[in-house]
Parts: sequence; structure tokens; C-alpha cells
Amino acid sequence: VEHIPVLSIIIFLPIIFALINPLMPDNKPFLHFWNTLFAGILFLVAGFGWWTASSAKAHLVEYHEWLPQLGINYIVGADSLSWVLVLLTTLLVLMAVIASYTSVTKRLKLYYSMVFVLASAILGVFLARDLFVFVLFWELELIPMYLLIAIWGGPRREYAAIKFVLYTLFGSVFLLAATLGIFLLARESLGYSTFDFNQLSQTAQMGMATWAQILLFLGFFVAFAIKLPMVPFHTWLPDAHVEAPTPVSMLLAGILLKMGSYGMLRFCFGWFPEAAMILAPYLVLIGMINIVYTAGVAMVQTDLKKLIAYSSVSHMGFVLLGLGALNDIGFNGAVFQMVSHGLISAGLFMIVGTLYSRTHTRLIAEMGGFGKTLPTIFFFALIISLASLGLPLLAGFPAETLVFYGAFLSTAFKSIPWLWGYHLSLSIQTLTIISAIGVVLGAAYLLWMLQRVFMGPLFPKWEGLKDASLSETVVLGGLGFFIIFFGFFPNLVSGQFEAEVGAMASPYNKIVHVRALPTTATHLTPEKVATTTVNVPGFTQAAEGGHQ
Amino acid sequence: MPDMSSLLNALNAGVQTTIHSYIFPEVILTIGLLVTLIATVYHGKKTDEYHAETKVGALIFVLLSLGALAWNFQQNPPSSPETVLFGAMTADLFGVLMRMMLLVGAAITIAISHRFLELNTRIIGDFYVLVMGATLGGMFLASANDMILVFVALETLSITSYILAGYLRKTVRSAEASFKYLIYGGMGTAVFLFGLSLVYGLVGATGFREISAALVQYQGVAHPTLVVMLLMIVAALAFKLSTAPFHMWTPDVYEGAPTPVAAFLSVVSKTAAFALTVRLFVMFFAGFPQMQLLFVILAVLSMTIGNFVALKQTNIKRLLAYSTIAHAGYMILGLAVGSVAAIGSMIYYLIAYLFMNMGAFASVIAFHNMTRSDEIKSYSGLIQKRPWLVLGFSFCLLSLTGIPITAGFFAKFFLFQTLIQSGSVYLWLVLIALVNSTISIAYYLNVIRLMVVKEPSSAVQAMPETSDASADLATSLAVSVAATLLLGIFASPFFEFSKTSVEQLFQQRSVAISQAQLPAGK
Repeated sequence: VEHIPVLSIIIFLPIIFALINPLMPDNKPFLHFWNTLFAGILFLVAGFGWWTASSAKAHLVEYHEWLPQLGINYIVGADSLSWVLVLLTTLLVLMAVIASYTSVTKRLKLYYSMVFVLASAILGVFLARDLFVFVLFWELELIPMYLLIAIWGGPRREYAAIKFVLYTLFGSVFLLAATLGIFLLARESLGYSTFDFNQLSQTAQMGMATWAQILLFLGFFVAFAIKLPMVPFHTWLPDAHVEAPTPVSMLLAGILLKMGSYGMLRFCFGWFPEAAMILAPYLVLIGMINIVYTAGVAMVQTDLKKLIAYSSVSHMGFVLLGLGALNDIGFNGAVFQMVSHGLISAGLFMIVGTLYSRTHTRLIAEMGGFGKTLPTIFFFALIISLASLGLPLLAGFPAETLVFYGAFLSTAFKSIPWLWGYHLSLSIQTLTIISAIGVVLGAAYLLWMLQRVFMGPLFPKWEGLKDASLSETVVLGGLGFFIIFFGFFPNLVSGQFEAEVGAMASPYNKIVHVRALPTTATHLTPEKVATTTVNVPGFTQAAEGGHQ
Repeated sequence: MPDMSSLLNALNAGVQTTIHSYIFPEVILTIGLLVTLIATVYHGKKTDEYHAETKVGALIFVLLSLGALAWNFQQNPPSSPETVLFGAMTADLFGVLMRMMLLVGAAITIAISHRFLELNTRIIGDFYVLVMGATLGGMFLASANDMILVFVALETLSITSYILAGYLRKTVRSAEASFKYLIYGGMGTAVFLFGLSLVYGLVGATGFREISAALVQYQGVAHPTLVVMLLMIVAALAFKLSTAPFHMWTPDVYEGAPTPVAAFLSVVSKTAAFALTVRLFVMFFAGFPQMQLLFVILAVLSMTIGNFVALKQTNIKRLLAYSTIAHAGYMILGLAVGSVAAIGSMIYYLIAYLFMNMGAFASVIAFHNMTRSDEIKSYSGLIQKRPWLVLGFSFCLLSLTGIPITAGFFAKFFLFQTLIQSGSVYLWLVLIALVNSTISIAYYLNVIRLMVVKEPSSAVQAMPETSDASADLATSLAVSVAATLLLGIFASPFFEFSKTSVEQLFQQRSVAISQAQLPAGK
């Protein structure tokens, strides 16, 4: 098993599927079937890879020399953070392919090819361990996404697709500049060229000038913030979502946005701790604005898909908040939020898609009373919306609670340095409390949405609507299952990554402060605290805190 | 100039020594040329079978020549440069590499032109003769070591090219292209010859080594004759390379000439011109840093004019013509720096450019064969009828843009990286080049967008459902795409090889100079 290049197979298998597609006959059920099979195979291969790696407790790494004279090598590797996102990606690709049964009708071969190229690029981003390779995959993602929106999108698809490309390219310029910057700095201090993550992160952490760290942090950050998306760079996302077909929206919200948060955690916070400590106050401030402002915007949307899109942006703000907390709980919360957001937002977009494919409208005002005619869709809409607003025992709850818990315990800053030595007296605790308004707003707009769409009198024109088809039920059921399952057993998710993600917070030296509180917890035995170096004191802790 | 007695001695030593194995490829190509010519002249009926036979024959001779080149390179690789043909040619790695590219380009040209010619004209055999003749000229040019041979080879290449440009006799545009090319080309040749005569007047020799040794004494001296001579030679080369401001002929000739000829001019002819330019640069100009300014001006003008004008094109051949001008600009950047690494990356660029541009032209020809249209608009929605053609064409266009993992990306990457490393003076050049490549995204990707995103145009709708592409064209496109991909993924060895070949060129210069100075030092 050790000799199988699992990671490379995971990355390049989708490309092979994409190349097989044009050879297939032009038969819709046939294409749907085979591509579902492909996506299933991909999911199983990823699952197999994760299983071998975790049972061997080893980090898989593949190394091939590529352009050694420039320090560029093909290095892919997977730690638990990568694995979690890879599994999420392959699961959502499978779900998106099944969701395409009802929502995509034209040019299926090209469509599925593009979905798989997109999957390949995203998997490459999550698995790359060489900055050059990372940038290659990062840029590769643009082309299929552009086409997916521009060909299969709504009436303003080309505008939305170009807007998406321009925003991302704008970020890419900063990404390239930062890549070049850290490469040159590393070459200066190491004496040789390298793009290897490990070596670059070491140079970043050993004696790099603070100003250089801040510049590089910001360079990477702008690229990732646009992907996240962070206010004020978020305006491409509602347009892209509204125009994109349902499965593409699911992929966009479910995994594309995670590229941004993954990059932030991996590079900005993982490599430039000094800069992160200086910039954390502003990040948390922006994260707070992200959560509250876009929740407010979601409140007033008349278009159902836009509402969900803004809700998606709002929930990505929790990732920023968790990262800005600069402690292990916050980081874990951020990663957990990536997973739950991936499942929940994909589910919500699927709900919108099912309604749109029946009514051909997205205006909330034209909907109502669907609860009676579409009970299955209503059932899942209810579960996923409740998960989104953070109801306990659903996947959204542990993530948001961890983020709040981490941020509240954080000692990252007491006030925000402002211009001319003037300080805004906003501590991270204050900002966290303000962010909590976002949760309230979230409950408000989601429940209001449910009420307007599924309750009330049914419009006569929607009398004969059919309930969810088999494929739709499978997608919603699959996502719903994981949402409920991870809500009941959050440790199954966090157990995968908590040690390693927690270790990423070790440069911030805040663990001592975090540890000070939970030692009073009765259910943690002293040995457990002593032996595990970066133990995160669990969700039960957080849950208790939340219920008090 | 080799003196008479040594020449006679060599002749007396027997014929075997005069035909060095290094020029076997040229010999084979000459035989092939003659055979094809005789077959064309003596064959009465010009039937389809006959056309196919001439094509296969020409192709076989070109590939045989390529095989001889590879065999010779494998048997006795020119680890140290030696002169062949009484000093008229040099056997070195650079010559091998360049001639290999020329032959590959010629083979692809022959493969992609057959169907096009069948559809547009009926006399085909002499077309291959002309292509082989031009390639022969280019091959002699690539390893020439003497000004006389340079001139003869250049004229062989040029005159055949003029005829090729006007090959579609009945088309006015083709005749216009030929005539325009002839006039511009004649001017270029005249200027070049004037430059050469000045060299001879100044140095009294025609051999590259003698000239480079003699030119050393003028280093740092603003000798008026020397300045005029260098300017004239650079201007004539710039014309051949179609770099701005000597680019005016390019779009018109490309548009009017048969598309395979445009492909030939933009790839094979240009490779030969670059081979000559690099050799002349290393042998003559390397000691004259003030020449760099000239190349900088050429590079910046070409890139900028090429890319900006390309934005507005509606004809795909004109678009590719301006893209050629822009790419020549990027490549000249290597000469502007003039170091081994910079010229090495430029050679790698040239290899990448050979395949990606040939692939693009093959796609354009395939499309023209099916629709008789070169308008960019008519490419709309092509993917719905010919997905594989669009895939190949898009890949070549992406490579021309410089999108990662294609050879075009690594070509730009190596070049810019070398420029950055060569000193902060060149940073602004890199900046200009980067801005230019960003602009080029717009017009290359626009074509892809049309083909993939838009609904089919009337020309595409009129196309038959099943593919009728000829096997030659499909193979050429596949080979070009595969080479573009593989050159990207396995860029390292090719880059190293280009660098080694350039290094050898520089060695030749220093050897020539030190040999000339040795007797004087005694």
C-alpha cells in the first residue's frame, strides 16, 4: 500500500474522468450514471487513502523532482487538515453530480468534464506541499469554474463569470507577488532555491523581519480573502451564485470558498505568527463585520438564492473569527466551521435548486405554502436551516460554539490599535459578543425564510408540484445525514484534526491561557491533560458553557 | 577566410573528409528535394494518388533527414565544436538543436498542408519542393560559420518563402502577399548585404571566428563604420524575426499566404532567423554591450505593438500574426540580457513556441478546411461539433498565453526568472513583459470563450456532424499538443540542453579570440 501514490491518484483521477467523458455516447441517463460512478469511485479512493493514512498514523508525502535548478518540485502530502477537506470535496462532488440529474440538461459531457477538472484543481490545492504546485492548482481552478458559470448559468451568466474571474485574478496577482517574495527571502536566508512548504515556513518563522512578515501575510491574505469571501471583497459571490446552476453553487459554496480559508490557516496563520499577532485585531474586526453585515443584508433579500448566498458569506465570517482568536480552540472551530459550512451551504443551495427547478422563480414573494405539497423538501429544508442557524445536535452548532468559545477565551488583544496611537477599546471578547448578533440575525432570516416559503397559503399556480425526486432525496438525504451525524458526534470530525490543527496554534503561545480555564473540568482526567500536548477540551465543554 | 593551400590539401586528402557526417541530414534533404522535383516534373497526370504519394515521399525524406540528424548526434555528439566544409559550417550542439527544430517544423508543415492544398489548388508536388528547399536554407543558416554561406542560405530560405507565399496563384491576396514579402524581403536582404560588406571592409574576413577575433579590438570604441554595420545587420535580422518596427509585412503576408505557409513562416523561418541571430549575436555583438539597448527597444516595441494590435483583430490569421510579433518580442528579451542563461531560456522559448504555434496553425487550417472561414466570429460554439479540435486548439492558445503546466508558461517563467536574476536593471523589462502577457490573455482566451461558451455560428452549424478531419492534421495537432504538454511537465532537461548549446557557442567565441591573440602575444 505504501508504494501506491494515493495522493497523486486522488488529484489526477478526476482529470482522467474528464478526458473519458468526451468519448462517451450522447445519452443523458448513460452520462449521468457513469459520472455518478466516477464521482463515487473518487470518493471511495479518497476514503481509502484517508483510511490507510489514519490507520498507519502517517502523513503521506510524495516527492518527485521537477525543476530542481529552480527549487520547484512536485510535492504532495496530506495532514489531517488536508484529509478533512479532501473528503469534504469528494463527498460534495459526488452530491453535486447526483444533483445535476435534474438541474443540468444541456451539453452534459463538457459539463461533467469541467466538474471533474474543477475537482482536480481543488484537490490539488488541498494536497500541494510545494508553493509553486499550489499556485498552479490555484490558477487551474479558474478555467472550469468560469465555464461552468458562463455556459450553464442563468441569464446574466457571462457577467457573473467574468466578475468571478476578474476578482480571483486580482487576488492571484497578490498571491504571485507573495509567493515570489517568500521565495526570494527564503533563498537569501537558506542559500538555495526552494518552494517546499516545510522549508519556507521555517524561514518565515526564523528571523524574518516583522515588516516582511506583515507584507507577505497581507499578500497571501488578499488572495484568500477574495475567495473566502471577506467583506468588502464579497460582491462577486452573490452574482456568481445567482447565475450558477444548482450543483455549481453547491461546489462553489461547499468547497471553493474553503480554498480561501484553508490558505489563510495554512499560510497566513501557519507561517507568519508575528504578523498574525499584530494583524489579528483587524481580522477579527472584519470577521465581525462579515458576520453581522452580511447577515443584515441577507435579511432584506427578495431573491431566495441571494439570501442563501449572503448567509453563506456570513457564516464564513466565523472562520475569520476563529482564526483571529489565535488559539487552538479557535483554529479547531474554524476548521470545523469549514466542514459544517461545506455541508450546510451545499444543502441550502440544493433546497433552492429543487424549488427553482419546480417553480422557475427564486423570488420569495412568489412562493409560499410549499410545506404542504413538498413535504420531503420541507423536511430537509428545516433540518439544514436549523443546522445553519446553529441548533444543538446539528453540525453547525459545534463549529460555531467552538469558534465563540475560542474567541471568548482568546487573549489575542484587548484593544485595537488605530491611527496615531489611538486605540479602539474593543477587546476580542466584545467583538465576539457583537458577532453573536449575527447568529440571532441568522436565526431570524432563516426562520423568516422558512415561514415565507413553506408556510402560509399555497399559491394556486403551484398546486400540482411534485415532491422531491429520488436523486434529489439522495442528495438532501446524504447531506442531511452527515449534518445530523456530525451534530451528534462532533468528535468524529474534530478528532481527525484537533491535534494537528491545535499544533498550528502553538507559535501563538496562548495555550497556557486556554488551559487555565478547563482544568477545573471534572471529566478531564489529569493524565489526559498531561499527556496530550495540544488537547482541545472538547465540545462537551463548549456545550456546557453555551447552555449556562 | 581559409587560405588556398589548406583548401587544396583538404581536397587532395580525398572526398571522404569533405563530406562530414554532420551534414548528412542536409545531403538527404537535398536528395529528397531533387527526387520530389523530378517526380513533379515528369509525372503527367496529377491524380489524387499522385498527390498523396508526393506528400508521403516528401515527409519520408524530411523524417529520414531528421533521423540522420538524431543518429549522427547520438553517434558522435559534438562535445567540442569543429568546423565542417572548409570552415563554412560549425558542427556544434546549437546547430544540432536548431536543425532538429527546423526539420520537425518542416515535417509538421508538410503534414498540415496537404488537405488545404487539395482544397485550394491542384499542383502540389512543387509545394513540398519549396518547403524542403526553404528548410534546407534554414538548416545551412543554423550552423553557418561564414558570411558567404549565411548569405546564400538566407537567400535560399527567402526566395523559396516568397514563392510559397504566392502559392495560391489564382488568389489576389496570395499574390499581394508574395509581392509585398518580396519587396520587404529584398530591402532586408540589401541592408543585410550592405552590413556584411562593411564587415568585410572593416575586418577583411568572412569567417565568423576571424571576424569575432578581429572585432575585439573595436570593443569600447565608437567606430562609425562599426556602428552603421551593426545597425544594418540588426535591422535586417529584425525584419526576418518580424519584430516591431520592422513588422509591417507580417500580418499582410500571413493573411494572404496559404495558411500552411503562414505556419511555416511563423515557425520554421523564424527559428532559422533566430538561429542566425543568436550565432551572430554571440560571435559579433557579445563584446558590445551598447547593442543591448537596440534589442531592448526591439523587444519592448514588439511585445507592446503585437499585443495591443492583436486585441482588435477579427481574422484569426492576423491575430496569430500579431501574436507572433509579440512572441518575438518576448524572445528578444533573452538577447537584451545576452547571458548564457538568458539566451538558453530564449532557446527553450523557441522550442515551446515551435510546437504551440504549429498546433494553433494546424487547428486554424483544420477549421478552414471545414468551413472556408478564417473569421474569429465563425469559431463560435465549435466545441459542440468538434470537441477534440477545440481541446487541442484551446491548449495551444493557453500555452501561447502562458497558462501554467503548458510549455508556454515555463518558457515565460524561465525567461523572466533569468531576467530578474540578471540584475535589478531588468526588473522593469520583466514588468513590461508581465503586463503584456496579461493583455494577451484577453485575445487568446476570447477565442476559447467563443468556441466553448457561445452558441454555434452559422459556419459551425453548416458543418457535418461527424468529423472529416484528415489523419495528417489530427496527428500533427496531437503531436503538437502532446509536445507542448510534455515540454511543460519535463521542462528541466530541455532547458538544460538549450543552455549547454548556448554555452558552447560562447566557448567558440572565446576560443576564436584566444587563438587569434596567441601569436600576437608571443
